[in-house]
Amino acid sequence: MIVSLCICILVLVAIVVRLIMVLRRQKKIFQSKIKSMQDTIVEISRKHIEYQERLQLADELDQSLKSIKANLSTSIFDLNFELMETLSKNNLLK
Amino acid sequence: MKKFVLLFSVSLLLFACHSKQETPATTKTENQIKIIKWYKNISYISNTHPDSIAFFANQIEKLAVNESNLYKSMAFCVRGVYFQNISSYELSKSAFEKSIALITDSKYDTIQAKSYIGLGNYYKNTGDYPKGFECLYKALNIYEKKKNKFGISSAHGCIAQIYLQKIDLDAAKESLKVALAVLGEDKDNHIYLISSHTLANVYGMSGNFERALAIDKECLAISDKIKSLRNKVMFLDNKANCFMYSNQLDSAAYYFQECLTIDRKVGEKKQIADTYCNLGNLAIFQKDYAAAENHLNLSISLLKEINQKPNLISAYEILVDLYQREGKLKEALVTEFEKEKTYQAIISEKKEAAMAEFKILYETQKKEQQLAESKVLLLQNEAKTRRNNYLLIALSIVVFFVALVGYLLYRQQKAKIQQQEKEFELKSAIALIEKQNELQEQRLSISRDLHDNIGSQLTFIISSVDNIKYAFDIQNPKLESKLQNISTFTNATIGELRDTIWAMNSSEITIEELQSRVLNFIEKGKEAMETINFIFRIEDGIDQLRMSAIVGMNCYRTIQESINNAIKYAEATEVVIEIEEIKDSIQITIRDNGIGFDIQTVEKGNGLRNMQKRIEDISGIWTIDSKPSKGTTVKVVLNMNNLGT
Repeated sequence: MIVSLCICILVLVAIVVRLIMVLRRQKKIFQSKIKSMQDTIVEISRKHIEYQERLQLADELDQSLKSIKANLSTSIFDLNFELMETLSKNNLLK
Repeated sequence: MKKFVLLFSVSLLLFACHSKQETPATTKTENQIKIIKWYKNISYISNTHPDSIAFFANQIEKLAVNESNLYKSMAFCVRGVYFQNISSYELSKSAFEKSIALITDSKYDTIQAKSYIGLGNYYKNTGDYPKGFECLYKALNIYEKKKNKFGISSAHGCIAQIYLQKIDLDAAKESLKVALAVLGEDKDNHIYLISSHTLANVYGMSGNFERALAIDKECLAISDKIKSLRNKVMFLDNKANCFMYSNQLDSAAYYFQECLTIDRKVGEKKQIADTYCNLGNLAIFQKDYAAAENHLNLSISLLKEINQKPNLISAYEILVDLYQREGKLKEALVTEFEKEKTYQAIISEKKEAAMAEFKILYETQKKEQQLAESKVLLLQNEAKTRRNNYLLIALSIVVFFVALVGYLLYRQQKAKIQQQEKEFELKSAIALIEKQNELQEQRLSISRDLHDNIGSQLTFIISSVDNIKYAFDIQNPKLESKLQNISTFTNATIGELRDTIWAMNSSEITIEELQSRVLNFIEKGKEAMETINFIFRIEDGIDQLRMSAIVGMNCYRTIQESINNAIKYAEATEVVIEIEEIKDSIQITIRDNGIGFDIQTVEKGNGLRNMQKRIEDISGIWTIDSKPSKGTTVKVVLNMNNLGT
C-alpha cells in the first residue's frame, strides 16, 4: 500500500513538474507574442498620430482656404464690378 | 468411584486423539491415510467399541512399519491407549515415551501432547504425581499454543484428577472449572463427561450428594446420547456411591451390580477392581463382613497386578476398617502397614515440593508467555500505528499533490483564457487602429488631391491676372490696384499652401529644415521691407533635432506671425530669431527692436491669440514681452518630450 502511494507521489511530482514547465513555456510564448503585438500597436499608433497631425494640418489649411476663398471672391467681384463700371462709362458694353 | 479415575484418564487421552490433528500436508499414500483416519477415530472406538482397540492398534502398527516416524509415533500413541485401557500401565508408559521421542517437528507436537497426557495418566495411576504434573503441564503448554480447547480441557481435567487423588478438593474444583469453562456450550463429548464426572466425585466426596446426583443424571443422558458405555458406567458408579453414602443401600447395590456387568463387558481390570472395592465397602455398610473381605481381597489382588497404587490405598483403607470392625486387629495392623508402605511410595515431601515447583514453573512459564505475547502484541500495534502514520502521511502528500495538480491545471486554463482574451483585445486594437489609419490615409489622399487642384487653380489665377496686366495697357489705377491685390493675395495663398503641403508630406521636421523654411519666408519679407535686418541663430548641435510635422508647422507659423508683426507694426530695423537648447527644452525666441507696445493696455489680436493657441496645442509655453520703444520679444518653450518624435 505504502509502496503504491510512494509510486503515486512520484508520478504526481512528475506531473507537477511537467505542468510547471508547460505553464512557463506557455507564458514565455505568450509574452513574446504580446511583445510583438505591442510593438505593432506602437508602430501603427505612431503612424496614426502622424496621420492625425497631417489631417490636422489639412483641416487648418481647409479653414484657411475658406477665408482665402471668400477674400479672393470679393476681390474678383470688385475687379469685375470696376471693369463693368469702366466699360459702361466708356460706352463699350453692347 | 476410584476405578473411574483410570477410565477418565484413558477417555481424556482418547478424546485428545479425536481432537484437531495436524497431519503432513504432502500427498499421502493409502496406508498413511488409513493410519491418520484410525488414529483420529480411536477416541470414538475406545468409547463405543473398547474391545476393538486391540485390533486397530495392531493394524496401525502393521501399516506404520515402513512409514516415517510421524506415523510410527501415531501407532505408538494408539498402542499406549490400548495398554492403558487394559491397565497395562508399564507398557503404556513405554509406548507413550516412544511416541513422544519420534516426534521431532514442532508442527506435529499435538501427537506429543496426546502422548504426554497418556504419560501423565500413567504417573497419576502409579502415584508419581510430580512426574504426572510435569507431563500434563507439557501437554497443556502445547495445547494452549495451538489454542486447542479440547486438549486444554483434557489436560486440566487430568490435573484435577491428580488433585482429587490427593484429596485436595478445592484445587481439583478449580482445575475442573477451567476445564468446563474452556468447553463452553460444547457438552456432547467425552471431555465434558469426564470433567463433569470428576466434579460429581468432588461433590460426592464433600457430601453434597444432591449436586452430585444432578450431574450424574445430566451426564447419563449425554452418555446414552453418544452411546458410550465407558462414560455411562462412570456415572452409574458415582450414583451408586451417592446412594451408599446416603444410606440407600439397596439402590447402591443395584447400581454397583450394573457397573460390574458393564465393567466385565469392557474388560478393564482397574475398573473391575474399583467396582469390587465399592462392593466391599457396600458390604461393610450392610454388615456382611465376609462378602466385604472377599470383594476387597479380589480388588486388592487386581490392583496389585496392574500396580494401581492410589486405588490400592483406598482398598487397603476399607480393609483396615473392615478388620477393625471384625476385631481382627493383627490383620488390620498388617493391612495398615501395607497401606502406609504404598502411600509412602506415592507421597513424599520431596514429591510434594516437586509438584508445587512444577505448578509454579508452569504458571511462571505461562506468565512469561503472556508477557511475551503482550510484548509482541505491543510491538505489532506499534508497527501497525507506525504503518498507519506512514500511510496517513503518504495519503496526505498524495492529496496535496492531487490538489496541486488540480490547481496547476486550473491555473493553466485560466492563464490560457486570459492570454486569449488579451491577445484578442490587442488584435482588435490593432485592427481598429489599422482601419483608422486606412481611413486617415484615404482622407489625406483626397485632401492632397484637393490641395494640388487648388494650387493649380491659384497659379492659373495669378497667370491670368498677370496676362491681363501685361496684355492690356490698363490706365485705370483703381483697376490696376485691384488686379495687383488679387495677384498678391493669390501669391500669399500659394505660399501658405506650399508650406502646409511641405509639413504634411514630412513625417518629421528637423530644426535645420525649419530654419530653411523660415529663411525662405524672410527672403520674401526682405523684398517687402528691405530696411529690416534679419538674424537667424541656431545653437550648435541642435540643427538635427527632430520634431513632428505639426509641432514644426506650429513653430513655423508662430515665427512667421511674429516676423509679420515685426514687419507690419513694429517699425523694427532688426529682427532676431534664435533657437537654443535650455536644459530639457528647446527655446525659440523672436525679438525685434521696434516700437513695442504696452501689453497691459493693448488687447491681444487674432494673430497673438492664434500664436498662443498653436503653442499650447503642442504642450508648449508661449510668452510675449513688449514695452513701448523697447521692442517685442516672443518666446516659445517646448519640452524635449513634447516634440512628438
